[in-house]
Amino acid sequence: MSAAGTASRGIRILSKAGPFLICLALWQAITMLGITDPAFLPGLGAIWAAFRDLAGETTLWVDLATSLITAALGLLFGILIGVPLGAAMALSPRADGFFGPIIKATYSLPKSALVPLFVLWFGVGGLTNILATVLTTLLPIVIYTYHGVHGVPRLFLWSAAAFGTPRWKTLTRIILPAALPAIFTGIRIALGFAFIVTIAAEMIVSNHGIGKLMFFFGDSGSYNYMFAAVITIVVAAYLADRAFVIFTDHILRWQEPAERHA
Amino acid sequence: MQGVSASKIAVESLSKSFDSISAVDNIDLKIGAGEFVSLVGPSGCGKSTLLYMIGGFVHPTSGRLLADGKPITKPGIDRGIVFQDYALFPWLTVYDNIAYGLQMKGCSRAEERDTVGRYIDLIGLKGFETRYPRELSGGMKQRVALARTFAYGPDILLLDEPFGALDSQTREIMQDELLRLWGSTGKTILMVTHDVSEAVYLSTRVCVMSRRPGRIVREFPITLDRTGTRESIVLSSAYTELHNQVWLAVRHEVLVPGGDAP
Amino acid sequence: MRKAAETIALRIWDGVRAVYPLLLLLVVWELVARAGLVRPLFLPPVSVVLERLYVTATDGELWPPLLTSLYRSAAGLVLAAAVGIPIGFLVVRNRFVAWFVDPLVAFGSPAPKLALIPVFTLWFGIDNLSKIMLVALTTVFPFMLSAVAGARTVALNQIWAARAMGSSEATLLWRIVLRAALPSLMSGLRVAVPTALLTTFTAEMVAGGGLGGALIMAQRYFESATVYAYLLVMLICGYLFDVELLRLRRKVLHWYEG
Repeated sequence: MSAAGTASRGIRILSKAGPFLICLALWQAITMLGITDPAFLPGLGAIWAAFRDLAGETTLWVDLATSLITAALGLLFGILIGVPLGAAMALSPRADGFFGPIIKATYSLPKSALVPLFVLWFGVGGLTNILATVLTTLLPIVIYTYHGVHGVPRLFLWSAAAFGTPRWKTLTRIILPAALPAIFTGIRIALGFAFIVTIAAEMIVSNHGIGKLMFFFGDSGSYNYMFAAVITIVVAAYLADRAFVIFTDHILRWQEPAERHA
Repeated sequence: MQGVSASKIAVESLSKSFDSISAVDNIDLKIGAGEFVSLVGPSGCGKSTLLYMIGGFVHPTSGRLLADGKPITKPGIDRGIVFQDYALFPWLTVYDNIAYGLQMKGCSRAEERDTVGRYIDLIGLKGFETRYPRELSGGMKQRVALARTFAYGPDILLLDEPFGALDSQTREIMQDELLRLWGSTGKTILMVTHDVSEAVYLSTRVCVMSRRPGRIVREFPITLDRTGTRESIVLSSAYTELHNQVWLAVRHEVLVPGGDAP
Repeated sequence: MRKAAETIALRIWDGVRAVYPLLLLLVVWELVARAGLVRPLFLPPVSVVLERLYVTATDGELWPPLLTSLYRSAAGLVLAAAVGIPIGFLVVRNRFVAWFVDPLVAFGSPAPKLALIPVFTLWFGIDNLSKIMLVALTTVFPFMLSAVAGARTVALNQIWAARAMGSSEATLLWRIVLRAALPSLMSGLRVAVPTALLTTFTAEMVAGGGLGGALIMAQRYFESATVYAYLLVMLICGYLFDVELLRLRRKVLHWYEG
């Protein structure tokens, strides 16, 4: 990249970071001026010190990994079940007639409310959290896959048929690529849900994961540690989302720019 | 009048209704091998519907369709199709789009590379093999669309207003391109167009359809000396005479009072 | 006469086809539970659950927590709308506001706001306020985004025409921009309401109170029929609100062709 290119890119990054820097500056100003009780709003310095302390021990990383793995497994199974299910519903009226009402009925139920139910069934543990996450990710993935497959222009299917594409190959080489943008959108939304439900489950049950950690610190009054843990997971979720977007943008590089997600 | 067995495409007493609306009524059409036939007529006269039925994408309500003496029941590799929009698969590169039909046929890699390379040279897009359709202009896209349908070698080509989305200069260039491809391969071509001058310029026969329900009301054999330049053809009196006749015939159909009533 | 009967029969058949998987599931549930294939702790029969629901509704046990939850959700939604919609409109009108808000929304939208439950509990206590604030923070994003999208649809010539007729800025804002943004705002509302309920119930399951807290209590005391009953209540609530919102949307947007 030319010098001018790098410079303009740098300016763009600074410009995007500006609002955050302003907020951080405000935070620091408020704590330094003593407007609030330091117990309720620890200074940035205290939070950073707490984070450094936690990062040195293994607890933070183990708990973070637990949460990330739970969310990832939940998302993975959501994809493995949801994409075929959504596609089947779009391609088979019988499948749509059977699963459609079930999905519509459970649409209004907040899946995190199933955590107590799963605790009744499976007790406290990873399975409960993963299962709750799977059920939460299923909904957006199924819906978006359905719309993606359903919306494949029939001219693509006709072209494929004229080229002598057998039915099985039509699914993998035509329908799936054409529906991929919608499927990825559904997975991205499911990714966000996965983090939310994982954290929620961990906070409700609080025996492992970042949720437990946040709770532990909150209960024992170590608020700067609590803030450190909260910020850690929020940043992790943000990074996961960004990584996903970069990954899908590359795979979908064939898309017209106007069709790209917001 | 050619017998059924000599025709490449035979349409007998073909009718098609959508619910209670009659789109096409009692069409008889015979197309011989190597002919270039154009279907023209007022908007909505069912010319595209007729094309789709020959393609096997739409089923007739009554009548017979034969290709090479065999009944047409579904799309097949003997009848290639080029659409106005959605002509290419956007997730495939130029190379992969042209290679698609060859891959479905099961050609060897070497043969595929050879054929694709030949057609890319033929349409003048050398160096664009790894580009995606979104990076191409309208004219380039249709060039690739034509190439990929010629490449895997169907005997019959069905074109549905292939140049309709292009500006007039690009359209003229594409018409000459199509003439060249037709000239060097000797395929049978059936084209739907709303552009009378295009029909007369390219075809060996022009069929004029009436308003809905569409019937073939007039046929014009076109004999033009196409060995010269575009200028010499278009400015010739033979071309002008034929163009005026066809244009008047179509205009007559457009101005027929009333709607669908026979 | 025969045609009328046929139409009615067809309608009933369509209705049955629309719900038969659910009926099937309920029947299977009841049979499995009654046959003793599963411990009643895990899967009480449907009839027992429905009976429990009826009992809690009639003897008043259900209403205080449910109404608390609904109040918290509603208050949070009102706060989020009051803050989010004006900011959304400002984003479209003012470049500095747009510059400031855009990265914050890009970061905040996918961020799991629920992770802030401990923080809000610290700041606002374990009672209503912390839930209301959390709902407000979570739902401010859909309101903002839909306000931005809606304001952007206002055709420039509509504004020019209004200015030419001598409208003041305030009138301009309210009459034209708000009306034009209404379809988008209704879509945002349709996202915000279930989000509000979800956030409230989850926060309550963690920090107590409301229907979420009651649900957790029922689980801790192994009252499975109550757990199922309250889940059913949440489901019905969500469904009823969605139906109401659709009705509201139709009423408000009867002039909208989109």
